Amino acid sequence: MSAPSCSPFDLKDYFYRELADPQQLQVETHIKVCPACREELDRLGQTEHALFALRDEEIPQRIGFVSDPVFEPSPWRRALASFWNSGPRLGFASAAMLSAALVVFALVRPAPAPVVRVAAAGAPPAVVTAPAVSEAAIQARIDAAVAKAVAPMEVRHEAEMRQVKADLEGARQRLILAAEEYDYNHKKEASAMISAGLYAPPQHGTGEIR
Amino acid sequence: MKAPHRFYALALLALPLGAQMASRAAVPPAAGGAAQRVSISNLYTIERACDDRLRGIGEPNTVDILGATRGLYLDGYGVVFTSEVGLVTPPAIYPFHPTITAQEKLQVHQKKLQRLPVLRTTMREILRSAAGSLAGVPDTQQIVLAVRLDYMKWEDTSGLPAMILMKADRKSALSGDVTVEEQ
Amino acid sequence: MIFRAVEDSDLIRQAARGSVEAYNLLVSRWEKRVYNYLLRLTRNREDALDLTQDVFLKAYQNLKKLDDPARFAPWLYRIAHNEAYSLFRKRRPESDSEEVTPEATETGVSIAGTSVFPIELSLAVAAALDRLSHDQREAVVLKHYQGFKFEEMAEILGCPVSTVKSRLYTALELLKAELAPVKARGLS
Repeated sequence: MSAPSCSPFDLKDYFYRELADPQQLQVETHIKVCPACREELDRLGQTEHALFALRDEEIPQRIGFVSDPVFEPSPWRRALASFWNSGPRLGFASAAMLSAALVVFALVRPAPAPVVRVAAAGAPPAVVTAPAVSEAAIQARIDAAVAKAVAPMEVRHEAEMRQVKADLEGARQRLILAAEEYDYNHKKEASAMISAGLYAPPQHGTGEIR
Repeated sequence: MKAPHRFYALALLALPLGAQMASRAAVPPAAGGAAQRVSISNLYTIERACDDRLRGIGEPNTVDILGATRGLYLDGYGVVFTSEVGLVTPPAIYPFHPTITAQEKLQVHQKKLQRLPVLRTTMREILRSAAGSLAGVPDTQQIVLAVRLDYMKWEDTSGLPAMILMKADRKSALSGDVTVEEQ
Repeated sequence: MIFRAVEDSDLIRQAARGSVEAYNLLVSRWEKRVYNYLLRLTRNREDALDLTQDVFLKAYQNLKKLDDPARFAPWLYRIAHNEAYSLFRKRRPESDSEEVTPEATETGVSIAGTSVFPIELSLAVAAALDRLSHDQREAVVLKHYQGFKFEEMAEILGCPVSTVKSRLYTALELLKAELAPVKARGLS
């Protein structure tokens, strides 16, 4: 559909500010009294606004030129820079946290305490040293420390997943609406072809029983 | 099925057949004794006129024909016209308008309720006009117009029928005396 | 903007005298824009990245030929445009570029919730741009995404301003029909 022709100048020239000031003013005056041209300008504005939905992407690999070794970072610095810019950083941070927790826990682990058993009546009292904390207990403490460390990340992950699900459900509903509209318009167009006489019967002189 | 029931079933089936035969017997012969005829081009003209009148129920481009009117002559019974209509063009879905708002749903519903009486009046006029054009159809045979109303899944259809059916014998249709059924 | 233009001119002069550091700084300012321009044209990330590297290499080799550093942007994009079209011409015998399914470039979705537009709008816009011809799409990208004036676009594309306008206006008409159709009249 082309733009309305009642505007004194091309609305797209006005939209892109290609007109001289007096001409811009003429179009502005016209728009105030012309709903069709106003709607056309709205549509152009909406189109431009929609185009901005496409965001620029980050370049996947930085471009650098090297001709002088003085300016070239050392291999160690390059490796470090590429590592800290990459995905494993998070995994490394988590592992580092866990390792630190283990080391700290090991260092502050209390010594096994002696346990005094109260002897049965008549028997001499005895001091029995309790055995060291079992492997299972240690594992349980590690598990608890790890769970505590990852708990905030899990909460955030769950919130993100909820948002993704909500977005997807919204998209699904919108698709259903769009599909229904498509079917409606399809029926409308098919009927319009019939109404326009594209399937008119052949012209016969005498009548026929249908 | 037991014998008496079978008899009653057959009797029920025989009723409309008998009625048709009776009506045929009651049809007065046309002038010159020619068999009754309904021309295709005549039906087609009435069909397109019906489409135009249904579209005219609302402002231009606000009422949609979703099933172009079709007319069928049933020998011994009469002519049946069927059509499918969207009483209000629904709001379009596009990137800046991805859903139908509650306000729009309400507006569509109210507008359809407003147009319903206009549709009924228009259907009566269509029947009258069709009856006038179908001179070849005997006065005692039926002229029927069934209009199905289309609704989107999101619509509130309270108070709105799925179909309106109007019929009358040709003579009664000419005077606007029709039977109305709404489903 | 004026301040930045002066800085770019200084970098260009230094780079033209052989300073790689100055050139790298210049590249870091323009690489994302040039990459996205080529991405919209080629609709393929790998091609866009390869071309971007070629563009900056060629620009470095020809920097001395740039008379007016203030014209760096259109001059750089002219190189980018030529590189893109060289690629299209090279590819044409093997496969029609229209048959290649373009990658989805941007979905517009953001898990952190900072996305403004729903995913459907981004996909609709990407699909609408894909349906334009090369020339029309390039005109839209240069005007709306890269912000060039018509005269600058004419310099980049090597054609008159009237041709540029014609391509852009036609493209806008097509995009408008898809992205901003006439509002439903049923309720009016």
